[in-house]
Amino acid sequence: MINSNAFNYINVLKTAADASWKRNEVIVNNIANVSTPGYKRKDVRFESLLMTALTGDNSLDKRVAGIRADRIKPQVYTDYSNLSYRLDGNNVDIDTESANLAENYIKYSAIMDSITQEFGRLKMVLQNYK
Amino acid sequence: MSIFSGMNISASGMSAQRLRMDVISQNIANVNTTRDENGEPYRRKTVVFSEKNVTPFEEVFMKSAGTSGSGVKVTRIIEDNVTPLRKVYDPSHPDADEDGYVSYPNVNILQEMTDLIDATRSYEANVTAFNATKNMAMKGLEVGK
Amino acid sequence: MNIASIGSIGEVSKYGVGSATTSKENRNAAFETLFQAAAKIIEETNRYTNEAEEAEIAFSLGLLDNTHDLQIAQQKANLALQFTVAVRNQVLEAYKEIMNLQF
Repeated sequence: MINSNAFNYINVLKTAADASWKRNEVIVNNIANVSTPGYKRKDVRFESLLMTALTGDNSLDKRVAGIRADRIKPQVYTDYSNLSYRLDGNNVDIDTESANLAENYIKYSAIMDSITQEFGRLKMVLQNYK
Repeated sequence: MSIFSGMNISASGMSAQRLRMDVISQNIANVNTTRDENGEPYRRKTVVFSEKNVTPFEEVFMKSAGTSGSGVKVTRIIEDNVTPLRKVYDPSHPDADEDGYVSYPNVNILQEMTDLIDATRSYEANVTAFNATKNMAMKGLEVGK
Repeated sequence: MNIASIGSIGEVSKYGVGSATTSKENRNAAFETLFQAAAKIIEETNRYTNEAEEAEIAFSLGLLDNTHDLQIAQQKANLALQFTVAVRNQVLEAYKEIMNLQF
């Protein structure tokens, strides 16, 4: 653990978990504002940032080690797409938001599980050196 | 922003939809009220929603930081003075005017029922969102166990 | 008797003294690196433990945004401490083994 590379994947997973949490807040706000006139739905931008940060020719380990945590912070943006909105200017579709909510919950559960397993692997290695 | 901001947002949504349902129930209950305490026929009421925001300085700060918002609140309950009252010809009614027409409230039962169903669905969606946030928080606590 | 060969014995003894000094320097350098590495491990463990404690206080004050921040910080601190203890145990074992060597 001298070079602290042991926790690199966990740090990246943690940023993904932060993005998932923020996305949950944003979706919940969209659902609460489904009847507000003039409200435009919001969303979170993260996966594209992570993809940009992971470009390169090296092995995945090296690319993950080179990620800077402040470059891949999740960003909230407002979705002004005018494809369909009601007469009161609100473009929240409650069924889409409910589906996004479920999908995001599954993603968050999977990320938590992955973090637990990463820690578990590290612990397993240390078990042999009592 | 705390851990429970998501739950607060859902709670505000539930409160707002419940208030809307209360107003709709009032409209339905008063569908035939030709005279209220002012002597006027009952006029249909509606709620006005708006996104909950904090002080203007924090709003600018939040816009640049891109935070997720704080929920919804009902700003006003307004009377519908645009839709005309329903006039029914009934000279024997005590509230009839000199032409024999009685002014009934401008409450359309079908409209109110549709709104009620919409409000119920929105309320249930907010409940689902609250449960999802709660389950996510519990999941986060189980990391490493 | 070949006087030149007696002279070379003296050279041999000189060689022996010199090599003892260099090997002692090598042992010191090796110990230095080991010591530095151990100090780094302890410093890192200390850092993780402090971060975990700060996360605990921030959580109690309601400053954290989500629940997994606290848990991840605690797990990292635990693992770092476990690693330090394991390293210490291994070094102690090695030391005891060396001390038990009979000459």
